Amino acid sequence: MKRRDFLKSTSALMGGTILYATGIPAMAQAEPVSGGTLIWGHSETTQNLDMHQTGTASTGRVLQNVHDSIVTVDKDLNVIPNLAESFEISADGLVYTFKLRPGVVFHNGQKMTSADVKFSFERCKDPATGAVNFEVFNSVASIDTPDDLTVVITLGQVNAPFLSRLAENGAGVIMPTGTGDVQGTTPIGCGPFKFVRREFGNEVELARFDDYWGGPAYLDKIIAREITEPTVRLTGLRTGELHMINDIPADRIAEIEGDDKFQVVSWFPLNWDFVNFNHDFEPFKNPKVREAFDYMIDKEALLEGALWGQGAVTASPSYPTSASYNHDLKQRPQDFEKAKALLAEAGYGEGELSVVFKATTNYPYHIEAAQIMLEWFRMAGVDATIEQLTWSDWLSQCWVDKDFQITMMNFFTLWEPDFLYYSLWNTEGAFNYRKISNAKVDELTAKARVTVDPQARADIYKQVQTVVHDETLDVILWFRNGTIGAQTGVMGLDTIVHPNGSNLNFHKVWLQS
Amino acid sequence: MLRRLIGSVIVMWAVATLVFFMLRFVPGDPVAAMLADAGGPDEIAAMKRQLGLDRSLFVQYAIWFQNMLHGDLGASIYGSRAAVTDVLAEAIPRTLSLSLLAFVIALIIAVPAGILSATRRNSATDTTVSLLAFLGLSMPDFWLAILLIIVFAANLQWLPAIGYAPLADGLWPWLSHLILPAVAIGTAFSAIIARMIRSSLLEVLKSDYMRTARAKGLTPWMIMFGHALPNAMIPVITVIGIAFALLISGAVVVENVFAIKGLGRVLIEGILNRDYPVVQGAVLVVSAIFVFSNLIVDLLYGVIDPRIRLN
Repeated sequence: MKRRDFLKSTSALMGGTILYATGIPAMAQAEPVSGGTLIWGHSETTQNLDMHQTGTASTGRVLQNVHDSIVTVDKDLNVIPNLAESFEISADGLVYTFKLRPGVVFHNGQKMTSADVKFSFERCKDPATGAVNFEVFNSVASIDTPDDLTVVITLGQVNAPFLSRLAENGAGVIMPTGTGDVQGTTPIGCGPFKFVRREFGNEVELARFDDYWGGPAYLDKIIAREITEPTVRLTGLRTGELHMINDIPADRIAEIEGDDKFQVVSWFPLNWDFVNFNHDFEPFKNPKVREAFDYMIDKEALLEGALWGQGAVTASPSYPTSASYNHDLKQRPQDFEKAKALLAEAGYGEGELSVVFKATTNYPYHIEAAQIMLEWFRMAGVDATIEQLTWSDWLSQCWVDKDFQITMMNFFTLWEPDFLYYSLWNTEGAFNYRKISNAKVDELTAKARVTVDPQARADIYKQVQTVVHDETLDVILWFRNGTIGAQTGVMGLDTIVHPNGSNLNFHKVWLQS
Repeated sequence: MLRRLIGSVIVMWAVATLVFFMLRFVPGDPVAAMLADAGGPDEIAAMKRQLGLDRSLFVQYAIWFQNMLHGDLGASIYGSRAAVTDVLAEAIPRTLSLSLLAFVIALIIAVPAGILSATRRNSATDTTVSLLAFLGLSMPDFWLAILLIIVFAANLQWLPAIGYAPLADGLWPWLSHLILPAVAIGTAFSAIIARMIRSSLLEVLKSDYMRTARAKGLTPWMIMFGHALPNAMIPVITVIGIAFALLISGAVVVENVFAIKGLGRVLIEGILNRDYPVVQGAVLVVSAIFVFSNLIVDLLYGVIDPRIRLN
């Protein structure tokens, strides 16, 4: 069976799980040893280190080891206890009671109490903090601390996604009281590793925290060297200067897999991609034109061409194993005749429509995908050109100024559907850079927020996906695999990937002497 | 001398001012780059107010210029408000170490090669040196860098391929991290100097006082190092001063290949992220290096040839 076929057949079953691992020697049998410094070639640079203020995947990936959240998720994305030993939700869905784990110590020696939880959540909620996830606490009426280990949060109105949003470090992280000012430069949490130093744009150093409530980690130190150039990362792995690297370029995976000095860990999914239309651009106001473009794209061929098959196509951006994933949706097949007919219906004959595709060089596979799609657009009689933008140019033109006709982007695989569907497709959504305004989607995403019954909520999100698909608000392409390449002496890599697919957790990783 | 110094400062001011305004006319938005997928338009507007980027260009310039005179180059927009002076203080020793080592390597190759090909003009040695010089000149430094990595780091595993170790870690760790990038940059530089030494020496060797020197019975060694070379060095030093630009621009590219966070990488990342204060600071330092290396060249003239004295 070809790997691609294997991926396809398993794609519906897996979520955030290790897809395959090659070259891992007898991992289960070996007895972990403590010690050593792991040098990690990190694919991106970290930015603002304040967990409340940062929203970038790169920073979250590192801070995952410094911070812990009040609750977390298991690999099936069920919310489970973490810093809270247990939690209870009242029948009306308005009162959340958390019992904290005793004996949790922060890196500064402070013991965690309910006051720290109150401090952290109020800091996140305060507009002056500039927290990315402040809206999670919008419906919070009061936070009470009846004793040192009990936190009672009362909501003014039902907010169904509340608990699962607290399972992310962004909103659910607990920081020691009074450390707000230093978090941006020297983050303090209660995770398995302490922050030691960061040389901006070069490296971050973490050291084991011996008093970690979950038991000390094995590694003495982690040095995350920020090497954004993929070939340089691969060189570092080859010369043995790096123990592991994340994000191997898709076209080089086979080469690393074929070398018995290295192991490759791959998981599904890392993130998902979609093609975006600017709904303010005259031709794209007509759903027929958007549908026509969908018919021009062969998603399987594009996945193979741009990503070397390292992923699986999907018509839904919901987390593959989540209850809200709509399995009834099928991607439209490539059909140029249908595309031409739809364009003609919309009043655009052969060669009468021209579009500019803006793609960012920050994701080289976006450039390759755009180039392939351009050929297809031309074959359907559309005059198309590509404009390559650096990351900051893409952000400023497409994200902020919404000045584009057609583009593509990827997003974290968010397991919390409110975060995903409200942010991206609601007219008011913070991530609605396509100027989408769809009454049905607005109504459904608002309704889901106050629907407590999980099944009913999941059904609403399935309807949202149907609207997104039927009216081609965007073209959902695929989930992309995540990859790590490492020396064979790096052990415990089967535990490193957080269920969100992006964060890396080094607590159980160790080095063979 | 004072006039030269004042001139140098004016040049640096002009460069800094030019860069300040050019950066702001380039499309792109530093705040958008920083907030990435984390912020909506409201956050971006608020952040711009906080950073003073909503004020008029000239007010921004006046504030920046005033702070610069006080030694404050501002804070990185993209990199959690790290002071630009700190970013530069980390980067400058790396680029200077790299450039100086590249310079030394270039001289070690160029001086003997230039002398050899000048004294054995039109011989097989001369042709070989000229050929190698052309090869060195036409080889892009990043390509040579990759070749060096493949051979010496990946296959032979003699030298590290990425990163930088400060001198405080020991002489060998420092040197070993710099050898490959320094050779990659120094090669083209040595080719230029070797060609220059050759032509300049040929010129000198034809002159009358060379004949006089030989006539009074000096050894060829003394003729070369006592008379010919010092006189041939004047145009060579001029070229070295100008070509120092080559070392710095070479460092920009080669630092990326070897993942060394020097001035070059700071500059490139700053430009890509529209991190205005960082780019302004880095350009200021690079222009200072240019201006002062040329000043040093001018002073060296006087040392080598007392007839040329600055007034």
